[in-house]
Amino acid sequence: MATLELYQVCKHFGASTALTPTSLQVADGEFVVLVGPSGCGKSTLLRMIAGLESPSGGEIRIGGHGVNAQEPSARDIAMVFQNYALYPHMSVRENLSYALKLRKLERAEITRRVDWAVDLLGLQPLLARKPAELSGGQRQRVAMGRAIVREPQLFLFDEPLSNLDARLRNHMRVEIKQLHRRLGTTTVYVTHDQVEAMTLAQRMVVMNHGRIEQVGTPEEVYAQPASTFVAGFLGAPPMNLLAAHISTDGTHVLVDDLAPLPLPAPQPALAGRAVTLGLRPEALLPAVDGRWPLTLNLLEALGGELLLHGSLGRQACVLRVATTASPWREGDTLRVDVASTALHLFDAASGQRLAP
Amino acid sequence: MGGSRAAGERLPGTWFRGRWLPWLLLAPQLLVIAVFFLWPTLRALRDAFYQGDAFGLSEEFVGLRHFAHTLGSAEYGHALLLTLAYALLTSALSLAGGFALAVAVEGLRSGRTLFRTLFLWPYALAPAISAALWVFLFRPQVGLGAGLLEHAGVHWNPALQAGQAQALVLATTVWQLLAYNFLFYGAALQSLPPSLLEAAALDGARGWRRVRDVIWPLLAPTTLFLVVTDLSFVLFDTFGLIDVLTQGGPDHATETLVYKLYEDAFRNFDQGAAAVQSLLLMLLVTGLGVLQLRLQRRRVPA
Ligand SMILES: Nc1ncnc2c1ncn2[C@@H]1O[C@H](COP(=O)(O)OP(=O)(O)O)[C@@H](O)[C@H]1O
Ligand SMILES: [Mg+2]
Repeated sequence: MATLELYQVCKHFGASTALTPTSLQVADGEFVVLVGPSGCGKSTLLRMIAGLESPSGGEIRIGGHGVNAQEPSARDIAMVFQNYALYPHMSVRENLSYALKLRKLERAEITRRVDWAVDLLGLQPLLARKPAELSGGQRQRVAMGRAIVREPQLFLFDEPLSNLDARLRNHMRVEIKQLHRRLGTTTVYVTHDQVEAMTLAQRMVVMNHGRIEQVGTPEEVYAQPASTFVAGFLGAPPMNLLAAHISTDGTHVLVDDLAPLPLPAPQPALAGRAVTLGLRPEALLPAVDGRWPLTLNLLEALGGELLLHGSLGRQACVLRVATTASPWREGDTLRVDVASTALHLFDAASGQRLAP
Repeated sequence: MGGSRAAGERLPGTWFRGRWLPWLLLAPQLLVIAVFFLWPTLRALRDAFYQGDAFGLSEEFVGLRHFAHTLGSAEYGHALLLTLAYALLTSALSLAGGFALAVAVEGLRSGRTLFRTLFLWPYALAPAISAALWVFLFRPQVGLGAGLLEHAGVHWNPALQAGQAQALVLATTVWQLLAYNFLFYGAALQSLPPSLLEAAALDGARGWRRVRDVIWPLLAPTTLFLVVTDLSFVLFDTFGLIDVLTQGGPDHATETLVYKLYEDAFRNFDQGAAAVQSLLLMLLVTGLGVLQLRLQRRRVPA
């Protein structure tokens, strides 16, 4: 196990920049998730850690040692690929033991490690099969087995669950989490799926356009998104982002011509500024004497909860209400209240978080 | 009426209403097949069982006599063994060489396109033309290659030395096949999933181990395909090459099955023997063709 440190690591492909200079520290045994939309540079970053791409600049350290000049196999890491990348001509057992054979481990040690991984992941019935004879979930498990038998300093996962169906994805997600609990190996996990990121991460790194938008625990990032990008990326449905501005005395936020919403604390510095008001769907509560009128366009019943799509003033907005039967119908106008502690303010131009 | 409508408006069925039209369209192809394939095949089948007199005036039915005679003759046995050795050796050499070259070029940091283009040339040449090049290079006393060999102390005269003639045919064939195999292996290498090679890099498979444990097995479908194509090329498409290089000589040293067939038919005017040999060759071609189709159908999923 080891720490991982990135100092000003960047990557250019020809004239295009896949990753702007990026720094990140991962503690020993930590599970860090890189999350962001497709094309934001997550894989590029992970592949540079693995040594499959060489950085255009900056330094990568594993366990305190600079590894920029080291080959992938010398870095003592294991990687699980999105398409699993199992050797199609080898049996499951051969796939698991191949790296160990190359390292010239003793046969008894190889057997011990393979048996251990096989037990841990329940691969016993599959050992003699070829990858083509396995289901997606089984391949995924073999790929994880191939990573853990190496007992590496660092696990790297690149969207390992995106080729699985939703049910299996949930199941494997739990397995990966339990595996990390048991092994405690430092892990960097790449995904574009915010649910995976929120549930797996001890710390998550939200990326966009080749740079880090925010680093923090899932709770921190969810509660205090650093930008409208992060706010809009996390949560399903995502946070409502409404064009608004601050009253001239800095005590209220005004959305269109709706009733002014008091700020939890006065913000004199922001007086009169154009802002983006962020409200989570669950922060808007239907109430008979609510502050704002909401015109309901569409109802979505999700079993335990209800999504209300409507408009606040002239802006679209979603509410999440924990109820099974809807007392409302599409076309109704209901009144909603805002918990004033639950509001987020972002700069209207840059999208950066302003307050609270 | 047809001209008054746009083509896109026509129903598909209205195009082929006539019964004669499909046949008319097929006719050129059918004619070619009939003239160049069916008719000669039928002639060969017939000739294999008949014996004409010296002046071509009369013929008599001789049953399996031609077959017995051909299969029992030492010359045919010799040509058969020679052909097998020739086919196996050239295929093996050019497969190994093509694979090694493709792997080496794929591993280059720069200049890949240049090498690919250069290695393609031999494939682009017709066998007879590459043979002419080699004749030119290895003409005793004057050829560049011949000069080098003389310089190395070899007394070079393929017109008299059986071994040298065989080596020359072998080298020319390998030279041509190598390009073909290189091309196919190169394309197959490029279409391997990159993540597999990356997984191998992470596992620490390098150099020879990487080639032996990962790349070679992954290219097995290509190898199977090339074995069959190479064999059929060597067995059936090297007539022109041998004709230009050695004319089957010296003393039958480079007389393969196809060349012997030609000799018997057009030099010795032994119609019966030639017919039998062409039938046997056709069996071989068909066998290889079936094998190839089989292999292509069950390509290993990557
Ligand atoms: N080998 C490459 N050559 C050129 N551009 C690349 C290469 N790999 C990635 N990129 C570009 O770098 C950017 C980031 O890619 P990637 O790291 O794969 O994104 P992600 O994994 O977040 O979806 C993308 O714009 C992609 O097109
Ligand atoms: Mg990616």
